[in-house]
Amino acid sequence: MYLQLKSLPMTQPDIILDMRHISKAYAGVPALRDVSFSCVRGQVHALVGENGAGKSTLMKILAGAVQADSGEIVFKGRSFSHLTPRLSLDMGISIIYQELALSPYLTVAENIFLGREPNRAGVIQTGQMRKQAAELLERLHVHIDVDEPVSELTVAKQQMVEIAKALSRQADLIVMDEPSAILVGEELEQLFRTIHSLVAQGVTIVYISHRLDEVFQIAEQVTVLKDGALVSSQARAGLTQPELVQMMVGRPLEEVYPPSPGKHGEPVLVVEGVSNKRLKDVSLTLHAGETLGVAGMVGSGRTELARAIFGADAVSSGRILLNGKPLTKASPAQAIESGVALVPEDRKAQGLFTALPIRQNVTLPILKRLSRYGVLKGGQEEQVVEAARDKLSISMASADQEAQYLSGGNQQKVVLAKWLETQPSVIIMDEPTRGIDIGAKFEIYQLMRQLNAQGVAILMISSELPEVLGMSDRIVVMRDGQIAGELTREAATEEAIIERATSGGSAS
Amino acid sequence: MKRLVLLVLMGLLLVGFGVSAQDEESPFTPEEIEASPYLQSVLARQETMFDTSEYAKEGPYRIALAAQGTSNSWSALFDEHARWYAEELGPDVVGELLYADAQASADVQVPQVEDLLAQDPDVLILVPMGSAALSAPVERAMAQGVPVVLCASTVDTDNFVTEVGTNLYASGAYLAQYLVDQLGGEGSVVVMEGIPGVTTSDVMAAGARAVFAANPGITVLDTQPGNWSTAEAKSLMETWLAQYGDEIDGVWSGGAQMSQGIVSAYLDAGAAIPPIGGGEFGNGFLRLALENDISYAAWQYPNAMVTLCMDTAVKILQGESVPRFIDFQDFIPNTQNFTDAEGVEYFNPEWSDDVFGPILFPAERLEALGFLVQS
Amino acid sequence: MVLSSVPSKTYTVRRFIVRYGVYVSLGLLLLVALLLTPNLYSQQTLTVLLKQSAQLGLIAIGQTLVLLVAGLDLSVGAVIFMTSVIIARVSNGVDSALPTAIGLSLLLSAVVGAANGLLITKRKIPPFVATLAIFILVQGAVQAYTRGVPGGFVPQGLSVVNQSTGFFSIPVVLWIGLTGLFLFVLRRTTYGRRLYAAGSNPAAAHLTGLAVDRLKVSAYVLCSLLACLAGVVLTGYVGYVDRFIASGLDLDAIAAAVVGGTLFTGGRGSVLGTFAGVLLIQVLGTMALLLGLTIQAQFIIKGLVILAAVALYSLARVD
Repeated sequence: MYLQLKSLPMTQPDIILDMRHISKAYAGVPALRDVSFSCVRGQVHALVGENGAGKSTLMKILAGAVQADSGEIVFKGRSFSHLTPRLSLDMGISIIYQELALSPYLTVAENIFLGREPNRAGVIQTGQMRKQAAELLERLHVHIDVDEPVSELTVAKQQMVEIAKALSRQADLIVMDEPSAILVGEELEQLFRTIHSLVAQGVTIVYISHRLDEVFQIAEQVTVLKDGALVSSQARAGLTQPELVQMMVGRPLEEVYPPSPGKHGEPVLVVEGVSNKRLKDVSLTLHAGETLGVAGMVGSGRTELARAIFGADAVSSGRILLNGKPLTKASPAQAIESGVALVPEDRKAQGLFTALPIRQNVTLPILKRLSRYGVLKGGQEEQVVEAARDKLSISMASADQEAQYLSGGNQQKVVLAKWLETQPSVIIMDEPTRGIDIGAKFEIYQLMRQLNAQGVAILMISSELPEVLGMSDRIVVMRDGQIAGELTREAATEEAIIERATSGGSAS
Repeated sequence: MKRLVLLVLMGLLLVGFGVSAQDEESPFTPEEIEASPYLQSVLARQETMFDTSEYAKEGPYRIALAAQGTSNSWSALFDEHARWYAEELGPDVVGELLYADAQASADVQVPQVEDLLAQDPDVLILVPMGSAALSAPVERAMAQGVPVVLCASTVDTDNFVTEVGTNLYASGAYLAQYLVDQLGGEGSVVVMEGIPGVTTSDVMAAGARAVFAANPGITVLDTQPGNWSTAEAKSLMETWLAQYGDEIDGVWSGGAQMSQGIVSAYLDAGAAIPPIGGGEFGNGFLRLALENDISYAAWQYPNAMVTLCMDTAVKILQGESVPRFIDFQDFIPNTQNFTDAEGVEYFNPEWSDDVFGPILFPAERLEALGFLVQS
Repeated sequence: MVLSSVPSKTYTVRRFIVRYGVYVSLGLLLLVALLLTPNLYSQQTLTVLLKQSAQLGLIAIGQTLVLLVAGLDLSVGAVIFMTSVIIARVSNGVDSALPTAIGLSLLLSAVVGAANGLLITKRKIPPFVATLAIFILVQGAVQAYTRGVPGGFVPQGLSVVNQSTGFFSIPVVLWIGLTGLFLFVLRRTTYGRRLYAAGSNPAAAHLTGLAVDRLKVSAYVLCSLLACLAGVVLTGYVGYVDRFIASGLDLDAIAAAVVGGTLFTGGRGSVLGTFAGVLLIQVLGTMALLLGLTIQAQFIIKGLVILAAVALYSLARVD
């Protein structure tokens, strides 16, 4: 067990939230065990832990979406055994989830006041509503047209609208669930500025994140959960990043990124002057056994590059060569045939067949090999799935288990297993560790290194700079559909990448 | 768990019995024959004359015909009768025949009637595709000064000039009485209704119920709808045969091609066909009945009745008073109810199975429509 | 290692309900029938029950296939009507012309199915709208061709579909045989695997190199061909061209598939479940008739059963 470093002040006139001894079990499986969590008014409190550590359950209890089995919630001096969603909102608790809950075709102002429009005898006072919306956005120091439909906004701005919505409800405590997962560079800075101004206005923020560097940048207090239990709750000052990782995973930081084998072979993938609607004259070369990192902001063309190479999107000029042979048409089938695999960024929407058994996920691209005259040969599938389970240490009940019942990390391993069966020479990984806990992340990094050692080339797209820096042999940075620069492993720093991704950094 | 399922099923059964009990309290129970609104209305209207002097005008006339339209052979022959009869009456009488095709749908017909009325016809002949849906358009026509002749079906409102049809209650009773006579007042029958909730179907079934109730020796084994579909009628008859077998001494059928399904079920089962109260007047059934020597009674609903509707329309425009209900059996020859004994005369070997007689127009017109058997 | 990947007890129960719920329900219903309507088990009733199930069952196999690719086919009623008109018109009562007539029907049905599939995949029209439009179009085209007069004769030879040997008749053998065939195709062939994948997650299937559009179109073509086969059987059964030949069957087929555990969201379901769903609906209908329930009560029961099935499956779904 970890040492309990809880340091609650003895007198707490400024404690806004105090969740005491919360326990919760789902169908007998404990999700939270005697967790206490308290926040000081006007502070940023980071809540960290691996997936499944109990962060979301704790916040769901706070939102009234789930009821605790035991424990007590004290908010602004009032004590409750449980909350309801209505009560939670009315008391000033707002939660901003990763999947934003906005109506895309309504305007910014309409979204902020949805269901609570300023009205006179049922008639919406549009002018009043727009004015109030503009004032709220002013408080956040962001410039958004209140008449714009939300669907026209960037994800970052949509997030600001969510925050404004929370403020319009007089929220005293705002929980942000992984707010940075959808942001990059300047957008993240904007979020931090907004958080600072909120805190200055006396609002309390609970900040849930995987990214420890962010935690160190903005949090004053840090609470760590692991396997449903409280590990530590302490001031950030005096805490180091390696200590925090150790508390979360029980493994020192330096072991997270395994060393590169460093030996590269012939070029396997050559992209020559490729352009289409989203890409402008992109060229790059990927060698056997190499991991090439692709950095850049969301929308910079990284995913579009992956889709173009894989044949999912058409190319208007330029060409793509695999082992010296050009891909002739935009067809994933042809790319797969030529030895390319794509692990897409949105696992559930594009990578995994959640309703299908693991077996059918893994063998889908190699059905031809496992069949004769279109009929599957008995027994072979089981062998394939067994082998994949052993190789990737997939934790599963049986090959017939539906993929949706696996954890994020195991789901990603199933997607990887599917592609490994095709014996690809190039694997494109778009955000390979998004939404995966640190333990599984580590396993995926190790697997990438093994593949490199076997001569497989990896094109890794990532928004997590530590990951890009830790795993890449070389790094290309994209901006506006173009290659904005290339960095060697030695020359690469977070600052160098951000500079090229945002401003007019010179193409090397 | 099992007990729960049983309980739920029992509950459902109770619901079922509740519905069936309610059914017997419907307005057509034997005790209430005299109170049958349909019967009352038909009988009363047959005796009432409508003064049409306000509609009198010089010909030629513009006659609007809102027909059932493209749907089946009965309707195709109805339309042909209308076209032929307009020619027969000549251009001095029928200056223009405005025609609308409802495709057998009330939804299609309602706006069509509006469109016809916008063309300001002298008279409207309407084959209503729904008694409720068409009531308002009929009232609007009357308010606009266009006299309405209902042809082959009725509406819920009483605000029209006259209706051409037949006493369906009496037809239903006739078919039931035939069975009673055949069985000598003793035996078991099954009753296949048309579509419950549709006036013509309900009225015929009520007529039958009244007769069976008045004959205590007759047991009605079951009453179910065949939805005027040959396929559904056959399925239902097969299940009845499996359930009751030769307990069934007679079958009452509410018409519209269901009887063909009933006969087909008997032929498949290889069982002897009992008397059928409710044979068809279509050539197909007549052929089947002859080939298999079936005992039946049939009622008629001739498509030729449109000629009577047109005659009536012309009379109205000439200012002649007309009764408010006109039974075609009184005016068109060979449209009376009949039994297998007369069936031989109604059958025409040159006609295809789809022909519903009697046909008043010349055979060439039938041939042009593809209704003659190709040799 | 990771707690969440070990299936819990509720998960097992839920999966059991989703997988075997329809079979257990059918079994229970058959037991209840033993008490309430023992005459269900007479040779003749069972024969009739199976024969009528076969008509519904043939259509329901096709609906299952399109439901698996997250689709729906409302045009089967028109395909059945079209088939019966073609058989009567083209053969005009002559047995020897029957193969030509059936061949032509199958060909045109395949065209209808392809039209459905292409509208849905290439034009991105929702299945409900596309197949409803095709239903109206085909129904209209048939009526324009016949001008409302069915015409022609159904050949005597087609009445072989009505002959039974024991419990078996041609429609029943077709139904059982095709259920077996598609069970095999969906479970043990590459085509079946790909169809599930394309229905379960079209985007992922595309990125796994599958020809998703072609797979979807194939499901609609198969559905139309099966409807055509049902049309042939029904035409022989009725012996006449009947405008209401498919009335009720088209929607009952969708209901049977849903009761059998096939989901509207695609990628989930099986023809065996549909087979049981068809039997469940038919047994209920026959029991209601044997009990002499009114048609209103029968509708209420049928509605409740479908609701119960949908409620059960949605309760059992883990989100």
